[in-house]
This record gives sequence, C-alpha cells and structure tokens, in this order.
Amino acid sequence: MSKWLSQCGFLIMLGCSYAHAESLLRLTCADEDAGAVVSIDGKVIGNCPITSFIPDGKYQVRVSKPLSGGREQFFEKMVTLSDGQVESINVELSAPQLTAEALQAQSRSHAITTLDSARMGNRHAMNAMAILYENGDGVERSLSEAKLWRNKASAVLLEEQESEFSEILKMAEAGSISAMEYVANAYETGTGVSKNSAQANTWRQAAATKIQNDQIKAAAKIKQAELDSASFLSNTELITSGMTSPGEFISGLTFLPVSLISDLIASPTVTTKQAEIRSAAIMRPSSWAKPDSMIAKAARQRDAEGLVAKR
Amino acid sequence: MKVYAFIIVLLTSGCSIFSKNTGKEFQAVSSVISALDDPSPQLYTTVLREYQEDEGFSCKQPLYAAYFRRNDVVKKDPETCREKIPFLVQEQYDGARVVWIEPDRVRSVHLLFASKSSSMASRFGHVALRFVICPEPDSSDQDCDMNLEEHLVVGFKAHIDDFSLNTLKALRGKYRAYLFANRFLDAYQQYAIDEFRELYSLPLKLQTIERDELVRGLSEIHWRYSGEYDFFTNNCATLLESALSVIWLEFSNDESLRKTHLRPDQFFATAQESFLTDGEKLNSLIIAERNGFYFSSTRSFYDEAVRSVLKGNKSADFSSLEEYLQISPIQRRNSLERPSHALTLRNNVRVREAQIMLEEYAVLHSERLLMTETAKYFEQQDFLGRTSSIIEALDEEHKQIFLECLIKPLRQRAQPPRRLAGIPEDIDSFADVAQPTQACVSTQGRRMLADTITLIEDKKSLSWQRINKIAQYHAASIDNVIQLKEMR
Repeated sequence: MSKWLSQCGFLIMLGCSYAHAESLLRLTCADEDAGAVVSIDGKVIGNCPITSFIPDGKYQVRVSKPLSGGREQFFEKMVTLSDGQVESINVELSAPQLTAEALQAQSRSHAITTLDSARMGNRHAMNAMAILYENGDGVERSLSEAKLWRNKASAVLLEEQESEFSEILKMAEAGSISAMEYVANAYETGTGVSKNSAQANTWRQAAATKIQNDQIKAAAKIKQAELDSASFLSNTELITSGMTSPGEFISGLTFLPVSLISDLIASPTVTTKQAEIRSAAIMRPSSWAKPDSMIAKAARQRDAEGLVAKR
Repeated sequence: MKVYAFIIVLLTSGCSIFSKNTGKEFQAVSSVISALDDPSPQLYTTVLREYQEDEGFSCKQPLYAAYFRRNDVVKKDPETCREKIPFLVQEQYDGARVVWIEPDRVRSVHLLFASKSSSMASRFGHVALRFVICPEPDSSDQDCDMNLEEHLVVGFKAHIDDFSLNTLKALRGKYRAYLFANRFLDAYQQYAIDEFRELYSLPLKLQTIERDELVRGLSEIHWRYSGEYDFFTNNCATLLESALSVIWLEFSNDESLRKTHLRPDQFFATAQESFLTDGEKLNSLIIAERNGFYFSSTRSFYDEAVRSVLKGNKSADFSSLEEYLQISPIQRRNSLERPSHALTLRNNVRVREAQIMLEEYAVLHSERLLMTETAKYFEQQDFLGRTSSIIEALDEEHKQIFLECLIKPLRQRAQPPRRLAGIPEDIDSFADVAQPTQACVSTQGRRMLADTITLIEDKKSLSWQRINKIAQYHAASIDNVIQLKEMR
C-alpha cells in the first residue's frame, strides 16, 4: 500500500512539475559523507543525499562537510536545469581545506606579523607588505600603502648597498683583486655608488695590473727558489768571489766564446743581445759620469752611426 | 852554389862579418824576435842567406831586413810589401780573429800605462802600445781619436796555459810571454771597469816612416816571439823596451830610456819626461780625458751611480756596488717594478741611466765569473782526456760539433800560440788559428753544442751547479737591462 502511495506521489509530483516548468535535481553522496550540507546559490536546501525539484535555470550547487579546526570538505558545480530533465550528481567531496573564514583569519594574522617586521626595518618584509596591500591579502587593498612600502624597501636597499660598497672599497684599496673587480662593476652599474665609467675603468685596470704583478711575483719566487736550490752556495758567496787573473796575464780561454755556457741557460734572444749589451756597458760609465770624455764622444758617434745605419 | 861560395869565402877570409858590434846588434834583434839571447853565427848566416834569396823576406821579416840594411847589406831588388799587416786579435770572450792593419790608417802610436792594482802581479802597473787607427787614411785627427772600436793594444803578457793562474808557476817564470794584440776597448774594459785601474795614453813622437816600421816590426814580433815571462826581469816593461830599442832607433838616442827599467811605472814615468813623447798631453788629466789620453777608473762612476739610484729609490736595500751585486737579479727586477721607483726611472733619464749602469756591471761581472768557473769545470771534467769515451755516446752530427767547437778550442788553449817564421801574407797561414767556424757560431750550431754538453754534463758536480747558477744570474741580469732600456 505504501509503495503504491509513494509511486503515486512521485507521479503527482512529476505531473505538478510539468505543470510549473521545474527540473529534478538528485544528489547522492558516499556513505561516510551522508549529511553533508547542500546549498543552491548559497541557500541551504537540505543534506546529502537529496532529491529536489528546482525551477529551470543555472545554479551553483555546493555540498560541504564541516570538519574540525576551521576546515571542511566540499564539492562545487554549476548546473543548468531545463525542460523538466533530471540532473543526477554523484558528489565527491574534496580533501580537507580551510574554510573561507579560516583563510581570512590566517591572512590577517600573516599581515600583522609582516607589518611588525617591516616596521622594524626588514626590507623583505617591507616588500611583502607592498604585495599584501596590492592584493588585499589580510589587509584592506590599498595601492597607496603598497607604494609607500615599496619606497621604504628601496631606501633600505640603497643604504645596504652603499655600506657594502664602502667595505669592499677598503678591501680593493688594500689590494684584493676580487674586491677591485666588484668595485669596478659597482661603478659601472651604479650599485651602492653613483655610476662612473671612468672609475670603473680605473679599477678594472688596477685589477688587471695586480693580476699581472702577482703572476710576475709568483714566477720570480719560483725562479728564486731554483737559484737558491744549491744549498752549498749562497748568492753572496757567489757574487763577491772575483776574477783571479789580472791584466798582466792572458787566459787561453779567450778561445771559448761565453755563449758556449750561456746557451745552456738563456734563450737565444738573450744570448744574441749579449754582445750589444756588453758594448754599451763598456762605454756607459764614462758617458754618464764624464760626458765630455773621449769614451763618451765615441759612444755618441757610435750611436749616431747606428741610427743612420738603421735608417 | 854562388851563395855557398860566398859564405865559405867570408868564413875563411878571416874577416868575419859577424863583428862584435854587429854581433851585439844582431843579438838584440834576435832576442826581440825569437828570444834568442845568444844567437849562433850559423843563425846569422842562415838569416843572411834567406835575406838574399827570399823575395818576400823584407816583408816577412822586417826587423832582420832593417838590420841588414843598416849594416849595408842591401838586396838587389827592392821589395814591395803588402799594404796590410796582420795581427791575431784576442777578443774578450769570443775567441781570436785576424785583423789586417794598413799602416796608413795608424795615425799615432801611444805608450799605454795601466796604473797599479792590489794584485801582486799588478803592483807596478802594466805597459803596452796603443795603435790609434783611423777610419780612413785621410780622416781628421778627431775622427781617428773617436774610432775607439778599431784601436788596438799590443803588449807583452804571460800566457796562462792552465785552466787558471798558478801563482807559483808565474813567480818561477814558467809561463811563456808573447806579444799579444787586443782591442783597445777590451783593454779598457779589463783595466778601467773590471779592475778599476786608470789608463794613461802617451803619444810617441814618430815620423811616418818610423810609424810604418814600428807597426811592421811589432807584427813580426807578434807572430814570432816566444819567451819566458818573468815578473822581475822579463816582464811587459823590459820586453817592450827591448822591442822599441830594436824597431825604433831614435828610442836608443834618449839616454834615460836606454837604460833598462824593470818596473812598468818607472818606464812610463821616464818616457813621459822624454823628448820622444808628447808628455804635455798628460799635464792636465781633465783635458787629457777629453782628448783620449787619459781614461779614469770607473769605480767612482759606479759609486756615483749607486748614490743616484738611491736618491730615486728610498726603499732600496743596498748602499754600495758590491751590495747591489749580492741582491739576486730577480729581487732587483721586483724593485725596478715597484710603482714609485718605476715612475722615477721613466721620468728621470739620469737615474735610469745610472740604474742601467749597475745592471750592466752585474752582467759584465757575472760574465767574467762564468768564464772562471767554466775553466774550473773543464779542468775537473778532463774533457780532453775523456774525448774518446765521450764521443762514443754521441751521434755523428753531435760528435762533429763537439770536436770542432769545444775540443779543438780547448786543445788550442792548452797549446801555446803557434809561432810562424815571419809575418804571414795570406789567409792560409792562419788555418789552424783558433777562429770559430760558421758551424760553431750559427744558431743551430750553438744549439747543438748546448744539447751535447747537456748530454755529457755532470749534474752532480758542484762546479756545474755553480756554473748554472751564475749563468742564470747572468741571463736574469741581461733581462733587467733589456727591461730598463724598454722603459725609455
């Protein structure tokens, strides 16, 4: 009897819906989600599962299941109902998320913390406040406040750059090559200091010169180590020991050219310049100290003849 | 046949042409030419025959020829000698080469005196002769005086045939004496720079013909003479006096010069007062230096250079020339590159020239050290004694270079200079004279010799290590000079 009555009721409803342009909306949920609140355009109509006649039209269907800690699981869908059709929806709720209220509370809390940090001078917090104000995130949206905070952040950045530049400039002046290169770049880009390409070039040159000098010194150190490697003989002993045969004697070793031994050590460029250097070395002392001496005159004539020959 | 008959007649005639006076004169000539203090009559006749028969005798043996002419032994046909006269010039470090001198280009001959030094052998100084050679026969006196590159010094010296001077041997007169020829500038370097001695150059008053005869006569002695060098009795002064007495007859006309001076300084002092020299050229050393009759010791110049450099380089760590040498050339290079000093060197010509002087002195000094140490090394290594075993390990190319460029000069060093019968007239006479061949002086040849020595060097030898060290010092000092010159 009851089954007959519900079927009649259904038929009557169908008849009535046809009579008034309504469609049927049927929502079903999983067993564990039974009781989730169903809303149509923000108006609660019941709990899931639910079947309801809704006048034709477009609706935002929302099913939500509140959880603890300001969280919920929910389902949302736009449905279009028309021509007395039946819209069946099998609801699958989302993963737990903060409710809108909870989100807002969180944003407000974040904005307060950020504001405190910004007020204490934290440049990054200042920039963050600007973004919050631009987006209205935890605060009331305000472009003027956002600009204010951006300006403050820039001022702090400039101060920091200038301070860093001063420190590094000291290191550059003390001879640090990397500091010199940093300073050159700073002058070039105007970072922490006013742009100045002349200064940038000067510091680049200084860095290049320092690199070269360091290389020369390093090579010299190696060469000196080689020179000192024979522990039996110091430079002093070597150089102050003198010739043994004075000018009243002549050594048969004049048969041997000095290049014989020099060739073992020096490059050909050096050995070919020996004769030239020796020739100049003999006449230079007199030329320098007694410019009107015969040696000096002969040296000048030789140089003049050399120039003429070159031409 | 005719000549033999002539000689027999002379000998049997009871009239000896070898009279006492001519005997003394011939003895003097022979002594100067061949160190024969007591020539035999056989020598006389031999030389006389040669004089009569040999067409080129007067050119090859001008001293004997002059002797015979003075004694009225005249040749039938006068001879025309070659215009140029050879001397084997010893270069400071590059071996020896033959230089042909035209007497026409010898404007004057000076008596050259090097002042004394602290060395025992140089206590009384040294004397020699200086040829003032002109660029051309008709060059001005000034041009001749300035032509220092060609001026020569000829003087009697002891030849060290060991690797280094043996003082005892020298004192005992066991070194041979020869009349050597050197470049004037080499002599200047040796005395004025290496030994910090002064040079005095006293012109001899010679007629043109006397000058010609002097140059030729000295050439003959240069190629022929070989005597015993003795510090006290047969030294540079006594030998030169004897030579001048024979070649330049006027020399004997001055009584003060006629007597034998055992000491070079005394000989020079006497010569300065003689009418045979232009002694007034040395009255003012300032003017003499200007005109090329006096050359200062360079010691004070280097001291002044040190002071000059120190003024421009306040952080220098030396205060004398010796201290400068003790600093390694690399450290010296670092000092040159110090910004403040480099700026001074660029902007102040005088300081820069002074700095170059000091570096060049280091080059010269280390060069001499290098030769001394090389001598010691060769002595120890006995390359001459080990030649056969060494060349076994070399390929053909390296073997040739080793023998030609090292062993041959070493052997010649050990031997006395070859004596000739007179002044040589052609290049073939010098075939065995130590002149480096093209193979030895070419870049490739030098490289090959360096490679060869690298193969046979004794790396453990302290001498070898010392040589390497000095060579590095030398090369680095040259680098410094080159860099300083590029600062101009």
